[in-house]
Order: sequence, then structure tokens, then C-alpha cells
Amino acid sequence: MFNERDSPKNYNDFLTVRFLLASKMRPLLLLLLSDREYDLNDFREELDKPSASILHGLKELERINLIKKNFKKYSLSSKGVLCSASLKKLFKDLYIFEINRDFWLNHSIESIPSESFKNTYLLKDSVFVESDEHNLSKSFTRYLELLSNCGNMEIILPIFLEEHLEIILENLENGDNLLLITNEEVLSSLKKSKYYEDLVDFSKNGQVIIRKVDYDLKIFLTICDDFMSLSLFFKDGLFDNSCFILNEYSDGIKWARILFKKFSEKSIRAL
Amino acid sequence: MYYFSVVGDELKFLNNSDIRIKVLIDLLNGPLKIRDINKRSLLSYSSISSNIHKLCAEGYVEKIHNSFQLTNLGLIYTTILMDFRDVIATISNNSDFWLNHDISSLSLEDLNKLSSLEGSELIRCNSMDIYKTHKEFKRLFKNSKSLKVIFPYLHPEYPKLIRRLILKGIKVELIVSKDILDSFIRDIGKDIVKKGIYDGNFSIKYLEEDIKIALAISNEFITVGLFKLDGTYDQNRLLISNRKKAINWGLSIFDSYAQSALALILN
Repeated sequence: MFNERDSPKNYNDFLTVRFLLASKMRPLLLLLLSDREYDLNDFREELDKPSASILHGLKELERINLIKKNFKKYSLSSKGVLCSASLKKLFKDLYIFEINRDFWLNHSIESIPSESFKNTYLLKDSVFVESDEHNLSKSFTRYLELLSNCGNMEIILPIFLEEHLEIILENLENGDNLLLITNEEVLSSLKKSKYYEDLVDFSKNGQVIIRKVDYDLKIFLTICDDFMSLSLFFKDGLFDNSCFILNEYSDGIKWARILFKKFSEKSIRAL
Repeated sequence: MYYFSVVGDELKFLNNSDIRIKVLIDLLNGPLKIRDINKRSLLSYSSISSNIHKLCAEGYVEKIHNSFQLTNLGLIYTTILMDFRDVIATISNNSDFWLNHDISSLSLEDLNKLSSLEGSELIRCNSMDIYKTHKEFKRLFKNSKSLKVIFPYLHPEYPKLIRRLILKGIKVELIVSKDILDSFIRDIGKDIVKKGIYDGNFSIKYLEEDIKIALAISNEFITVGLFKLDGTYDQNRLLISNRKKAINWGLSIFDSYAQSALALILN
């Protein structure tokens, strides 16, 4: 378990945040101006709003030096460029949570450190792979498919499942590498299994490293050359095998690697 | 624009009320009863109650026995909003540093991590001390155990400072614009440069294009200087921080410049 929750600071700092976000017009104007200069007619065409409300929003933004006006054309100040970029990041940060609120409400997030929520814009292109009534093992099958074409593997493994290990061993036979982080319980099952001897052999030529954490893992993270996948546990403690987050872009893989590193730093080598 | 269309309504709901934001922040520390929030914030019991029930209805807060706690979404939204608050505070607190300055040297990724600069201090020259930024810069240099600097301009004292550091065996990595490369090497002293490179505690790279940021990162601090919009370097303002997050922010900028810079090859 990580314990790095932000301690509350003075909420007076939220005045500007609220100024920017309590209206839909102000962020819209800043977003539009991040692409090019606009005059009032351009804004009217783009937003389909009355001039009065657009002008009101523009005046407010001008008042705190986020935009400037030059011969009827509005543009961002350098401070406005920063605010606009930060707003874009904020919207992208929240996107993955807003498109599937139920997933986040129903699953345990205790293994994800709060720092990792601050760069979830990297996950914006993710998809939720979900089983449905037509195919109850859809997400499981899809995960195994992805894993079998994985290449080098970095995995945080909180569960023991033979199907995973068989594919992992096939990949190792093909010359791929495995960096595995797991907990004592899974490691002990692994040691009792028929796969452990092979893993030990692969570790001798440097293809396998197993690291261990001494706390409960509530996250199943896989990182390969071309994708990352993230599965979580339900709040009642059971593993959810019916849905995972898949990201096949470099940003998503980057997010997962940052998270993996945090776990790696708090683990010790077990093989 | 698309992402805003997805999250804009929720953000508006949360930020429309000062009370909602205060309640979310208070609950970050753990579950609380309405009475506890009332005592801490001096907000009226009825307005807390009304807003907390709205937050429950929208899935940000849940009632457990007689207390209220953040749901996962409440925790995530509040954490991300606090991070956004840090960025806005960084921009607002050092408003005249960011305003009317050329920030084209910062990539989108650098901007996305701007909250790392939260708590930075802006050093300004004033009529009683017109060399304040320069003095601060020198003071920090002297105490460094390792140093990475992007110099977009040449100040006669900097090569001397660098020379002293090289001779003391301090690890120094420099990136300069090509225009000033020769003068910089000449003023440090070609022999010292060669010695530093040979000993492995000095490297100097250069960029063909204009550099629009002055960045110095040591083991203990980071300083950032920017150019004004008229193209001249602003010698009167220097942003400085000793926080680890800010230092890491600077290191990643330095590394990305270092990747596209060319290494100096001496005969």
C-alpha cells in the first residue's frame, strides 16, 4: 500500500480554479484561442452563442491577463497559453474516469498511488475491454491473445493462473524477457507449480527476474512493447476477470511504466 | 474540445459551489460527520448538508454509518483538481514571470508537468539591487556538487564560474547555442575544457537553433529564466526552486535538449 495522499492546503487557492471551471464559456474561449486568433464573428460562428455572453467571457479573461485584444482580434497571453495547456491536460486527465464512472466506482484503487492519477492524460486513448452476455470470456481471451504476442513482458501479478504462465513460458522460449512483480502468496503458488523450474532455468540466463512485495496487490498490470493492460479487483476483494483497460499507444505504455517503477522500487528480488 | 465536452459538466458542477470544493478537500483526510466539517470550516450546517447530498447523488461522496467519505471518483477528481490547482497557483503566484515571456521552449509535456514548479520563488531585481538575479545565480553555482546548465546567452562571469567548478572536479554539463560556443570555450580556457572533458567531469554541447530558455539544475536547486516577447533575455526575473519535483522537471527538459544537441569534439 502506498500512502502519499495529498494533504489539504488552503482552499483559497481554488478561487482561480473555480473562476476557470465554474463556467463553460471561459474554458471554451481559452481552448479555441489555443489554436489561433479569433475575432467576435469567429467566436459567434464557432460557439453559436450570443455576442453578449461571448464578450462577457472575453472581458473576464482579459481582466486576469489570460487573453489580449489587438485590433479586434483576441489571442492568448503567454500566461493564457499556460492556462489553456493546463486545462487541456485537466480534461484529458479526467476523461478515462468519466467515460466509465461505474468501473472506477466499483473497483478497488488502493494499489494505485495518487501520483499516478495526476498523469492519466496519458491514458486518454485507452479502451475498456469488457465481456458481455454473448461472450463471458471475451476480456480473458483478448488478454491471452495480447499476451501471446507480447514480446518483452513487465507484469505486476496479483493472481495465479496457469493459462497466463503457459503463455509467458512460450514467450520466454521465443527469447523474450520477463520482469515480474508479485506478492508472497502468488510466489508461493508459483514455487509449488510445475512452471517454477522452467522460470528458474530462464532466470539463469537473465531472461527472468521475479521481484516480491510484502503487501497486498490489488492491481494486475501488463506492459509489453506494444500495449499495456490494467485489471483491478472489485471492492469486495475479488479479482475482476471480465474487464480490463487496454492502451496500445506509447503514452499509455509510458503511464504504466511509471506505475511499474513505483512498485519495483518497493520490491525486493525473489528470483 | 472533445475531452472538454465529456468532462465539462462534471467540472462545472463541482466548481460551481465553493462549499462542494471545501467538502471534497476536507474529506481527503478521511471520513467526517457533517458536524466535523461544520466545526472545521465554519460553513452553515444546512449548506454543508445540502451540498454533501448533491455530491452523494453525483457519486463523489458516500455515507458510511453516520459519516461521509470520498468514493473512488471523489478521491480521483479531488486529487486531479488539487494538481490543477497547483499549476494555476504556479502560474498566478509568478504571474509577471509567465506573462509576456516567450514560452515556446517548453514542450507540451513540460507544460503538462507545470505543477512540479508549485512553491517556486520568483527572484526579481529592484532599484536597490539591480543584479539580484545574477548574484543569486552565482551563489547557487558556487555551492553545487553537480550542475547542468542551458545557456542561451553569454555573461562574462559565467565562463569564469564554470572554470572554477571544473577545476574543483565538480561535474558540469553545458548546452549552449552555437553562436556563443566559441566565445564560451575561449573564456573558460581551451586547456581547462580539454582537461574537464578528458577527466570526465565536463561536457559541452551546442544547438544550431536559438535557445529560448536559461536553465540551471544542480543537486539542490533549479533556476529558470525566460526571454521576453521582444526577443531579449529577461535578466530581471529568475524562477528558483529547491523542491525535488521541480529539479526533476528541469532535468527532463535538459535531457530532451541534450538529445538534440551536438557534442563538442576537440582536436
